[in-house]
Amino acid sequence: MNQVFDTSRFGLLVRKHWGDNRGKYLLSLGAIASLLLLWYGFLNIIETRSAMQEDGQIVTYYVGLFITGSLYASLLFSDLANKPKAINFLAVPAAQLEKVLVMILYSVFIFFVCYTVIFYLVDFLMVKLNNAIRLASWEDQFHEAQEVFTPREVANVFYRGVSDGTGPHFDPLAMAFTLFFGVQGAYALGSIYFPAYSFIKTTIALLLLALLYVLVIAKVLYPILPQGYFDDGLTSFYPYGINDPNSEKLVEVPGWVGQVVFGFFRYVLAPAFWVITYFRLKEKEV
Amino acid sequence: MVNIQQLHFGYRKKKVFTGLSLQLQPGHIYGLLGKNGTGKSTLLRNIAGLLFPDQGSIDVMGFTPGKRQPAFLQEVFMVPEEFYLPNIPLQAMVSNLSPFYPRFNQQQFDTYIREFEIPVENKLESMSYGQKKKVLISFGLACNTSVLLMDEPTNGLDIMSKSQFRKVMAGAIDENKCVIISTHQVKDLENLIDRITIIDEGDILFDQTIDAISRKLSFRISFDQEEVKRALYSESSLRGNAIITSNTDGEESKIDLELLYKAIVTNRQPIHSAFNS
Repeated sequence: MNQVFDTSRFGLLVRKHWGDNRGKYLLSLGAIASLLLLWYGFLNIIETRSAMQEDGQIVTYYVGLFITGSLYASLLFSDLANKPKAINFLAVPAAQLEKVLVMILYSVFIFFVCYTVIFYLVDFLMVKLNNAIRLASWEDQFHEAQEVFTPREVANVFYRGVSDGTGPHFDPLAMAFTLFFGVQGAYALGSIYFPAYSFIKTTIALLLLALLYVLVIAKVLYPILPQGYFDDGLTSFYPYGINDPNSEKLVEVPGWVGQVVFGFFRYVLAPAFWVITYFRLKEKEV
Repeated sequence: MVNIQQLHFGYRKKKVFTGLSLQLQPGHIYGLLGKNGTGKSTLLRNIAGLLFPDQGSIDVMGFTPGKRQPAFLQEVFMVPEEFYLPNIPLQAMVSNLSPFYPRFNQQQFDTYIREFEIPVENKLESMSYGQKKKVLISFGLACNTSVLLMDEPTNGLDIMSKSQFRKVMAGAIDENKCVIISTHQVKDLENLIDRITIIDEGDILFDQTIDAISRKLSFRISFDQEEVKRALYSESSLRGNAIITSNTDGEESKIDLELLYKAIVTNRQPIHSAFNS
């Protein structure tokens, strides 16, 4: 029997986790659906004409994903703060790796799929409802004589290419999507580091990191650079007076640096948090 | 089976063990006695791999508990004093958890549940603390792990349940199992344990088998003041003086665990001298 990972044991653990938490999870998904319904209902009541625009749907998706995903991740190892629950968790005859992988499976994959399915179910319903309400009152609303009714579409929350005229080249949603898994990993790690008030403490820790980032730019980078501004991330710096992107830039780090930073956020951050979580779990004592 | 060598362990402000060594063999029910806060639970949690020694070593069947390997965890079951059971039906809990223990026996579990008179159709959340504890004890026994650790198992059990507990435990031990029961309610373990280990302030004050105690010590009520004066330990009671003396005539008396415990904790020297003579 492999002491680090065994597929049949992992399967048993997945089954046990579902069996122990089924009720809680189904209730949580119901709560997410209810909150989305309430929010869209509120938007439709206060301003039917502008509600359910694609941008609004995308913002709703990501705000909901970040809040509920972070909250859920911050509760992942909350059992370890409670002695009886911690003993119950640590004493199950499965490897630490399997226990972390089960958490990743439920919090990263299953949560994400369930949230997205619920979002689209509610979104689809509310877009249809909004179209029906707007169509019913179309004649009473102010519009140009030749203007025809345009129904709202269900938004694609995963792709929104920003075009520079030659075709889509940058997708801000890909970054948001990527960042989500990193943030979620941070909250999962926070749930082990901070036994009590994990969500609040992790949020404070992340805000402090963001503050540190701003301070480094303001107090370290700006003083050593001439007066100017960053453009296109932190890889190009334009001194004041040179606004033409084609002109020679005073400070420009190699393109690969930007790619490495983006790659770090995209591919390294979330796995790194989970690896640290694994080692923290191994060290956990009750 | 369990070999503890020079165990040093402490919490931030308090040292609990400073060089504790202990060997536990299969086929016995060990009674770990001691006052509250003397390190009984800490010792059990070190054996279970829930706490890690600062120094020294713990070996359980060739495993280092702190590594918490699955092969180790499926050989050790712990019934903690404060425990958690998920809010699901009893049978669901059993079907979720039992596959992790290769020697789990459903028939045995059903028998224990019947003996403990647990309403099987109930959800765990609707059961009382005592009923939940009996479920956990039944489950732990039915897992047939080589090492069974029980921390204050009789806490929260009513008088009938305590007697059921003793009955169930007596039938559950075999030559391959090592059961360690920690308690400060020594009366609850009478006629159950076959070896007594008393710890205090992280030290082992006394560690003897029941057979050895029966051979070496005599427990009785005495009205003879001379005999009371000569006793290794005495305590006045409504019935007379409860005394412990050296067993010189070879007749075995019923061991009064509580009296022995008090004798060891208050002044262990006379008792030890009886064993060394």
